[in-house]
Amino acid sequence: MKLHRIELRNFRQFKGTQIIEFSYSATKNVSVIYGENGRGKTGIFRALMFCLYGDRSLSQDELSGEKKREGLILVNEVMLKENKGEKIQASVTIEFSHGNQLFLIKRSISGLMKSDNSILQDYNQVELQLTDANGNTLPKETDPELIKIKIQEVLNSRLRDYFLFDGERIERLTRNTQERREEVRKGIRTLLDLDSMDLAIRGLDKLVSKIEKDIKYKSTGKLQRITELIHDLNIKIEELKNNQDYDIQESKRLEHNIKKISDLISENEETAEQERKRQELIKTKQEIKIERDQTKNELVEQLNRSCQLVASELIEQLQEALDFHREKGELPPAIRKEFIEKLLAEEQCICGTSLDHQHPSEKENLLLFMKKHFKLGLGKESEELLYKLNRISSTNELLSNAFNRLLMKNKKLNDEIDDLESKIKIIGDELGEGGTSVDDLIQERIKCEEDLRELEREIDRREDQIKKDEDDREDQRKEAAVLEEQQDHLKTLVAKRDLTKDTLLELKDIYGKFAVEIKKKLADKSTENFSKLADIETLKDIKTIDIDDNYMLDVLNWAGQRRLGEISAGQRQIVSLAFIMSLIQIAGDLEVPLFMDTPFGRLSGKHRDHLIETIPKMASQWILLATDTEFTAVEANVLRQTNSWGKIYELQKEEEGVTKVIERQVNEFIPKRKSIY
Amino acid sequence: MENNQTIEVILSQINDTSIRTVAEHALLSARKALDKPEHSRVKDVADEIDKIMPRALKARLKDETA
Repeated sequence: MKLHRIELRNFRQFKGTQIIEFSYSATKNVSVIYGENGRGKTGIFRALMFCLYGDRSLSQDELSGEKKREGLILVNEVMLKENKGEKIQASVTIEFSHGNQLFLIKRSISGLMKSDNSILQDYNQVELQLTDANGNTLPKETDPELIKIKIQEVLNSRLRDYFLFDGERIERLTRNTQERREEVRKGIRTLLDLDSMDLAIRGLDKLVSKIEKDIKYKSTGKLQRITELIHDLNIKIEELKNNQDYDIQESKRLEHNIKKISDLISENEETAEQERKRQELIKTKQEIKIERDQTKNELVEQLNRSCQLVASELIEQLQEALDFHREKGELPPAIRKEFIEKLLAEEQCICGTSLDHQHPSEKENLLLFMKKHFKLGLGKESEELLYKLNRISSTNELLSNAFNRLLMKNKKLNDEIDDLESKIKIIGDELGEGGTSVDDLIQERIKCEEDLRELEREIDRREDQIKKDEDDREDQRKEAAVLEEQQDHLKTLVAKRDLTKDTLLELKDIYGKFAVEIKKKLADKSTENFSKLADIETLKDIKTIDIDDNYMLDVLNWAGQRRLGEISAGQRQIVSLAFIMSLIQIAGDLEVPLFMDTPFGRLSGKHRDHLIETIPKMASQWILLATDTEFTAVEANVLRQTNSWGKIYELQKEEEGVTKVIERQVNEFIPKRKSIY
Repeated sequence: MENNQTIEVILSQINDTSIRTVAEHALLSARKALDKPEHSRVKDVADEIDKIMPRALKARLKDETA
């Protein structure tokens, strides 16, 4: 989307008809709207949001309840006052291109000032004129719903908040508070479509359950009973997974808190050494936990192989009975007849002694053995059965040993984890009793760690339960699949369910990979942008921008320590801008104008210069809304040198409540102030 | 994942026609549903996906026959 032109008529401060033409070519993509505070710079963005989406307020107005529904007064109040009792029409018309199409959209609103000076606003009319890639102008569309769909296709309304950033919001975005972190998380998920994917997966999951329910109703006999079981398991697993997701998020939050508190504690020299020991113990504990989990998996595999152990006592008794009969010569020995016959034929004993005429007694012994034990003439199958039983009996011990070894290992690792946890707790308590200024932090961390331990146990337990239920469901599904084939009337439903399940698996796989890669990419791109925007001193403090598993933004210093809570407001602003730009870059086909309202307020000279030089290269279109105090001759000069500056408009006060838009020439424009100093 | 590869592009690269049809439709339905009230979103998406199933099943049958 590239903005070409906006026409304001009696909208907010803009009395009468006023026009701004934006610069939107590939080389000249910067437009500056210059004016003092209160002249209506934000009103330009407000007009854009009103025209595209019918918004009567912006999220930054922070209106709620009735006020949010009513919105702000959008019709010029001077006009309303001058024409009290008469309806005044206000409108915004925008011309923009998207892809190869040209859009002309106009939205109107009327207002009326009553005799008691209260104002009524009446929403509104909208019309859209489209010109296609071949230059054909299509019939004018006036259906608000169809226009809404068309505009959503160009720029989804959920993304609207990510293209206007005033200075305060830019700085606020990276404040170290849960609320702001949530805003960043939401931004990432919204812009990169992760929310849509998540919802698509949940929708497919729901459809699978729905189809299985239909199969349950339409099936008969045993299949019906199995499908009922599957249905119950579906409900149970869904509930377990919901709880698991919630607890995993909660544990991540706790881990993040613990890390944050630990960083703060580490800075205190008195406690640093103990803290270091504690961190080492925590690391060891994590490593042992990984080993314990692997052992648990091995145990499960071993258990699958060792099902015969269940009957080990019975096999032992049977073996004893067989040995008794063997000794009496009633059963053949545990050696195969064919083996003895082979030895005799080759005239070579198992010990290497030759069975020729020089050793007649050995040969005789073997012949006697044959005669005694194989005289009964048991059938081939019976002999085979005896050998198999013998083999099972001899492997039982091996299996049992392996199983016991894993059990012991699992127990040993669990003991080690318990031991480490108590050591960690002791050090934590000692740290808490130190009477230092970090007491409160330590107590807070102890509480977080206890909560986390409890949560991790619950997560482990639930994970086992989910696995067990899923295995159970899989077994039931396999059995059901065989029975389903016998019930012809279910064929279509079964095919539908299978396709839905296949799609679900594919989407889950794609989503998992995409989410991991996108986080890394976003962090790398943010770091890259940051290195272009920040000055040398800031780059010494901050090396990397990081996005954790929970989509939380942070900055790391040279030692990899998290430092978001400590950087200055100006540095935070640079981090925010680097991040915002990376979001837009990573979002791929998201070509949108980037509005920045007074972004330089907290920035030092070098940062301002870098920003002005870099943003035009990163954004497809940059609309800079600036005050006279921050867009001085210095900034104008830097922007001019980028050769990307195409338009400048000055907002001038004509009378109280009325602003005049005046176009100036970029090359001739001289800001009112020479510099910020 | 190549540079700036969106989810949409990744889905369009799914080889199996029937799975691709359902996956793309599920994503589109989810995007639309995000603007709707939260309590009915998942059900709306499931209902929308259900509508594309006859077409997707035909594609699967065609592939299997081929």
